[in-house]
Amino acid sequence: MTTSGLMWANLWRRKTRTVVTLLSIFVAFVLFAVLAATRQAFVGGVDLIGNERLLTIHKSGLIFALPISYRNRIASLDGVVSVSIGVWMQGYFQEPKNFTPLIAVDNDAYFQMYREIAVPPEQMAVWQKERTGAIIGKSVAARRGWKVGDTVPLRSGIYRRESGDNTWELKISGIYDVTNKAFDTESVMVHFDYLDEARTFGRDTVGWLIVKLKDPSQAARVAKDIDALFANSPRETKTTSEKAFAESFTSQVGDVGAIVTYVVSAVLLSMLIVIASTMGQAVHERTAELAVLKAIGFSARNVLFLVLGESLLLTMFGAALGLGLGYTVCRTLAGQLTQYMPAFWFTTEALLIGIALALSLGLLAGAWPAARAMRMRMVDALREA
Amino acid sequence: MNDSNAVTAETLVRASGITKTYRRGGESINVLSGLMLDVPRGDFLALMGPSGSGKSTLLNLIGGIDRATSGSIEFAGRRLEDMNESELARWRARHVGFIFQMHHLLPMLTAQDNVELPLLLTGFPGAERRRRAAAALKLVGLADRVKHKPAELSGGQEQRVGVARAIVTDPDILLCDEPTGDLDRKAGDAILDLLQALNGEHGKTIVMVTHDPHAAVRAKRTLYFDQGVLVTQAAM
Repeated sequence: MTTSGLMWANLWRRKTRTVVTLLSIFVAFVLFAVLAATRQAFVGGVDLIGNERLLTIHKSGLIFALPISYRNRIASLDGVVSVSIGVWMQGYFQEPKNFTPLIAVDNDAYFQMYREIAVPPEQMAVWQKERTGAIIGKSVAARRGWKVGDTVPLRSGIYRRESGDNTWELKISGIYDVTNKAFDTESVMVHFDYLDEARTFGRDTVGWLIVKLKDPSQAARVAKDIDALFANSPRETKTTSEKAFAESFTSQVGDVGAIVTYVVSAVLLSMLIVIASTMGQAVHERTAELAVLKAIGFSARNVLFLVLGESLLLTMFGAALGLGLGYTVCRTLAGQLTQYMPAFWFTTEALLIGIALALSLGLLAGAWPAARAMRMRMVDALREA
Repeated sequence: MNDSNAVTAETLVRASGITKTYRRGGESINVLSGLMLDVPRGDFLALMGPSGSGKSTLLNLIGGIDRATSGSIEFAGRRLEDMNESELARWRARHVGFIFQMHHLLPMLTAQDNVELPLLLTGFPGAERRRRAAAALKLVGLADRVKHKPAELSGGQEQRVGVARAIVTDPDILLCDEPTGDLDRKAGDAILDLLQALNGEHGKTIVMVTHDPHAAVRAKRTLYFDQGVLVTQAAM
């Protein structure tokens, strides 16, 4: 018999009640893991984006294009290292439900800009020579079974070719991976020139410009200079850091982080009530036994720790099972959701938060019953037994 | 009447001018009034009297699980009222063994684990705790019931586990509150035999509250209470 053995034995004196409480905690922490991964999918990547790049879009929004000539004008500004471009083509494979991000980028400037996107040098060399070449993410390649050298027909939801067809034949030149989890491996990158020569509208325009800064601390000043450069023109710009852009883009979906936090808080509050009720009943039923423990020499503090320990043991056991299954569920879901939520994963940080929440929950739920047990008068408890 | 002249051996417990007053519904009730009592080491003392006469209250005061309203209780020369709650808990763990009428065993633990409970406070390693608990159970005649849970034991066996739990730390005094009150005559006699053996052969000082004259005759002496005062005593 040990103190922890005593706590464990006490938990199982009412098996049904303990199992039901454990199940509640278990389900709550599975839910916590899935919601944490969902939150990560929407907002987590933003934290990983650096401040060394600016993004310039049309002042009225992303759907309005900007002249490609802006690239050279921005490049001439003080504090700018280089400028790259991007055009959103809204791709899909065969049917719109097979959504595949399709982006037209300039030859090698884009990949020079994004060192987080890793393409084997020999594949990059091939891509630069192939007009219809495409660099695809490793997730797309794995899911579709595509490999380097394959020719695949991707359709654009925006741009048609002069022939009237919206199918763009692409030869896969390379497959990229990423070195930063803020980036996904779901996109397909094609040459801007290939798009621009063949599309029926929007020639010589881009969706956005990416500006690499000499000094990230000068971001605000350079952004202001860029927007000032095109002020009062027919196509005014709005320049922000990539991080700010990602945050504002995420907020268009709704404040997912806050929603998830509210749901998790509500679930944990319910758990607090459930566990506190369980512990309250357990202590109430054992009033005489706790008094006996005190009589045989357990101090008030011993009894306090005994009840708190039971509450912690119950909560941590349920939470460990829940977080364990939650992790497995997230891993499984991540594989299935990678196309839509590439950043869906249960992070180590979320795991640590989960453990901290379980600890807090156990302590909070056990605090009142433990304090009651500690203050209990032995004589009264024994007399009422 | 007081008992202070009855001491012939080393005094283990000395109660001096003990008064205990409860408040119930705005009314003060005197349970003990100026009680004087000495319990020599090795004594086997029975406390008798009608319900509410103060005998259980006195037992609780001697055991340090209740505080006197006034007066002093000394245990081996140490005043209990000078100890705080933590000190009292440590003192109880070391010096006092309680035996309750209702056993109060923990139902989910085996007899062995129940007896080990007081040893959790001692710092003995697990093997030593198990050895001592087994020895205590053997002493009360339950060596073959160590793995049984209370529900698998008879009332008398449960009480014997309660006795083993009380003696496992080798306390100086055993405080028994109606130890046979919930047992049939045969099982009660077995417990009383055990208490007599603990007193006679192992030198344990015992104070036992009882309503049962049949139990009281097993003690070396009996004190009678009425309305919070000692009214008479009888030596066996």
